Amino acid sequence: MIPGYDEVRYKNIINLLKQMPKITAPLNFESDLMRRINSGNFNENYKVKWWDKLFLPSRLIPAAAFALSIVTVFYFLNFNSIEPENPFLTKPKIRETVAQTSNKQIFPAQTPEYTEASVNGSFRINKEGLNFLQIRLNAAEKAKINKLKEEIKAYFKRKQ
Amino acid sequence: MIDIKLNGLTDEELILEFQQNNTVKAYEILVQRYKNPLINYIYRFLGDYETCADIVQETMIKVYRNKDSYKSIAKFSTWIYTIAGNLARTEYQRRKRRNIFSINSYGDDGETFDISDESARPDVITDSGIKDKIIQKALLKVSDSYREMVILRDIQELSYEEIAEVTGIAVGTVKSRINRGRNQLQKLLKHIYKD
Repeated sequence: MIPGYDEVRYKNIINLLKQMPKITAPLNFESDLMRRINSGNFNENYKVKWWDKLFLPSRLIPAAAFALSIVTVFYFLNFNSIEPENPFLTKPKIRETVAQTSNKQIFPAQTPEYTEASVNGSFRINKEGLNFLQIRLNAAEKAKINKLKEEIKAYFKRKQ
Repeated sequence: MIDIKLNGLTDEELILEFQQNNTVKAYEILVQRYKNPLINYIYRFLGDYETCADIVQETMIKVYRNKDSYKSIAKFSTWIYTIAGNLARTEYQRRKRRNIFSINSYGDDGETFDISDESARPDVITDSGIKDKIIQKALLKVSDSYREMVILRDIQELSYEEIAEVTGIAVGTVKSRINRGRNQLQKLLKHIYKD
């Protein structure tokens, strides 16, 4: 091959480079290679797996510091927050407004009455402090309920 | 008998045999043929023997795993040099980035790094061992894009067309880069000519 102009111009440097000794592979190169191929462990030497990188001290320390700072911030924020109410310790709020519908009127609690047991067998409840609703019945409804009461009483008397 | 037959095959025939019949012996012959040229190429480019052995092993593994991606339209040598070159360039860039963050700065222009002491290696020792070390050190000071071309042309003795194929650069650019690299080397090694 006839050398070109550049080959002649840089003849000395080309000769120096050509005279450099040839570097050879290590003696166990092929055995190492075949061992890696046969074991299927292709990235054993050259590449580090990402999960190995994750646990390097250079990455683990900043990550741990970040996590610690987050925990600290949440700890202090928690102290400043309003404590939630314990539903077992607070008194129920008493309704003051009274809603009214067509024939069913809702009343606040009546004056307290307390008796242990009435003579005719019915029980009265102490209504003090309670907040329950009472429905006003008309005469026909009251009569119907009274009739039902009489029937129940008669039933129990028959049983006795 | 089969070994003798396989040894007589060209690189392209061997890789075809490995592709079609999964003949591991054909692959082993290819490894035998290319391990030393690739070690020489990568060592001259990086200047670190341990790393260059790892890169060549990685190259061979890539050939083994991706044998089917080789197309017979290209020469096997260009294909394997391309793989090795890509890995070497990646490693070089990785080292360069590491050197930026490192306290130590290597070389005068920050582009190069120290050559490990290979004086104890018998395959490196020659009568002109010191001279070789000086040339290697100078080679590492040449810009990496020029250095690669110079090594492929003047040390590995590849043709301009092959270098263009390996690096994916136009032949004209390859020629100009080689000359620029040689020019840089000439300036760095002026004192050696006087000997």
